[in-house]
Amino acid sequence: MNWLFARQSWFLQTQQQEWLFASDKVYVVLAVLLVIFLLVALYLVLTNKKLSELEQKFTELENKDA
Amino acid sequence: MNGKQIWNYTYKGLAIALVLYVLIAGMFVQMPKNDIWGQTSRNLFYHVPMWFSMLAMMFISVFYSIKLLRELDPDRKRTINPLILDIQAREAAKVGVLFNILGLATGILWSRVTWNENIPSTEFAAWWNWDPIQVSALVALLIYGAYFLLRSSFSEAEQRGKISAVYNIFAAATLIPLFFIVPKLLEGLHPTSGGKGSFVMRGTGMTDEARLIFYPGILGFTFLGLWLFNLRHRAAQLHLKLADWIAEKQYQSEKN
Repeated sequence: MNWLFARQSWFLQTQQQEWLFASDKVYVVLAVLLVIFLLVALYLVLTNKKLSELEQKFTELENKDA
Repeated sequence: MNGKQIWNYTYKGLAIALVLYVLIAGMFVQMPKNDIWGQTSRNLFYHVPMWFSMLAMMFISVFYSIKLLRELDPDRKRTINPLILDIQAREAAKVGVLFNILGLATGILWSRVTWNENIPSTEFAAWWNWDPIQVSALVALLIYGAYFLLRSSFSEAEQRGKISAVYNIFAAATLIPLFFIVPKLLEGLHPTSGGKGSFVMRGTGMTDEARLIFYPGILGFTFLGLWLFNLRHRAAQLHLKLADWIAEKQYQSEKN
């Protein structure tokens, strides 16, 4: 990962475009993206868990019937 | 742990790890200098994988549609409930449409701050370029919109599955000219338009470092789409099974 963070100083000095990425706003953007993604990931993990439980319960219900 | 479980854990773990990697590394990698794009070229890591994920989902959807049509063949012995295959085709198409919308949204925002930077926000041209790929994406969205409308017009489940499966095959076939042929023939804003570069961005000046983020990004977002599809079709199948179980119970209680 060293190559990645070595670029950071270059990145922050770059003034190619006076918009979102050309200042320290990048950290805000990154933080927002990470929070959104982590919430999506959490939703997927929790839904997966809940669905597995429901599938298990339904299988038990079917087995009980049989 | 069986092979299926190992695969499930692997792709779900990879989806989280790769997307996290792409989000972080995509912000810090050095991008080639470009007067029009500037630092916004980083959007490449988020915008382009949406289309690959969309295509993957649409082809998964058509796979289940073909499987459904084979299952409905009267000369074949049924091995699986065709309604389950119909649910899988429908849910994969829904996830594909989601990625299509995300791809369009990230593309519109990208062009807004680059080529259309000097156009006032109130003008339509600030948000829409009539670029061949942009139009193709919109046409694909309309084609799949028609797929869902078609589905909703049938009340009988097996007939709905059969007809929408046939439509789905034609819909998926249109994606090939829409995304692979038409943009190659016409000039547009995309670096791959007019036959300048390949669909996987070869010949577009992308650096090797950027490729180390771009390709994992495609995999990461595709796995994320697979995960969403997995959850959606499992939930829909459970709903179907539960409805059948309740109906059977009611039938038995009425009989008694």
